[in-house]
Amino acid sequence: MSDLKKYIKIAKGITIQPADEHIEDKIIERISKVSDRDRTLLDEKFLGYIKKHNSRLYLFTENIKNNPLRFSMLLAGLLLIVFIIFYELKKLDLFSSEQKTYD
Amino acid sequence: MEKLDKHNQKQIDEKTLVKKSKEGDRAAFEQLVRQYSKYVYTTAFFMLRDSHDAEDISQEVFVKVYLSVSGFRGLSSFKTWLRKLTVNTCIDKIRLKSKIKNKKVSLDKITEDYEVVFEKHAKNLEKDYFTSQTVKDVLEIIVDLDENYRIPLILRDLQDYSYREIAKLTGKPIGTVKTNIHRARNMIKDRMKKADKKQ
Repeated sequence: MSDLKKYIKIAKGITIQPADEHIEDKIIERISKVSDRDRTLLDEKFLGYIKKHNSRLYLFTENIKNNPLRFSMLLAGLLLIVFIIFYELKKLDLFSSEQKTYD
Repeated sequence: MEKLDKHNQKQIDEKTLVKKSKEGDRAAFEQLVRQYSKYVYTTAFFMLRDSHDAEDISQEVFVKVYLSVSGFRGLSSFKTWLRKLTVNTCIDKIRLKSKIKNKKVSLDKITEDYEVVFEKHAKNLEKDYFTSQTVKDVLEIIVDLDENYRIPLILRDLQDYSYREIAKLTGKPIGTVKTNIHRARNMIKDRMKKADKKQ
């Protein structure tokens, strides 16, 4: 498996040489001919997608849903930090109140 | 360090080009096309296994991007946005093809030859013929897989999609997606073993 992972990792960085060498020029030429008719490509589904991906809240919730483990660990870490701060403050508070009783 | 600088430079260039494209600068957009057309073509080719379809998808994706780039807020990188647009457009094409032909696209056997270009790791791979050949073999096996296995595997392993996203895109339960990806990896390993034994 680790071998396969290694090869797939390398495969991520490859490109396929297009059958037509001038594909970039073809795309650029196609763009120069864009007309109102092409706006039909931007259908409701596509516009919905664009709208969603322009929303920070949507991207944030998607990120949580796609990485639930990472999010749980982050949350647990934050809670631990909050707990430690609270515990230290409480200890300080107790210490100062003990000092007051001595005084 | 030099690598990091190059990466940062590329990102700055990309941001500048996107900003200029949003303002209607055609030359900047053309530069983006030159920078990413092969990336879009490659993604489409692996998903559709057809050079003509991959070319059509490349044109369609860039027309969509051209018409909607002014609305791109840049909350994710341009490449991520482009990748998702390409994958969505390919999935739509696969669905349409399946409907028209009333059968799975994957039943067509791939007959086309294609040339693999190593962009990253290129210098090391030139020295390591065995590794580059194995990568080509792995890709050949992936391209030859049935659609039910190929698409989830490509999305997961080559495009870094989560299982949840793949399930949403393909309209299959998450458990099925996980099983199919696991089987696909096993198929690749089996075929690699068989090829090794033959040699």
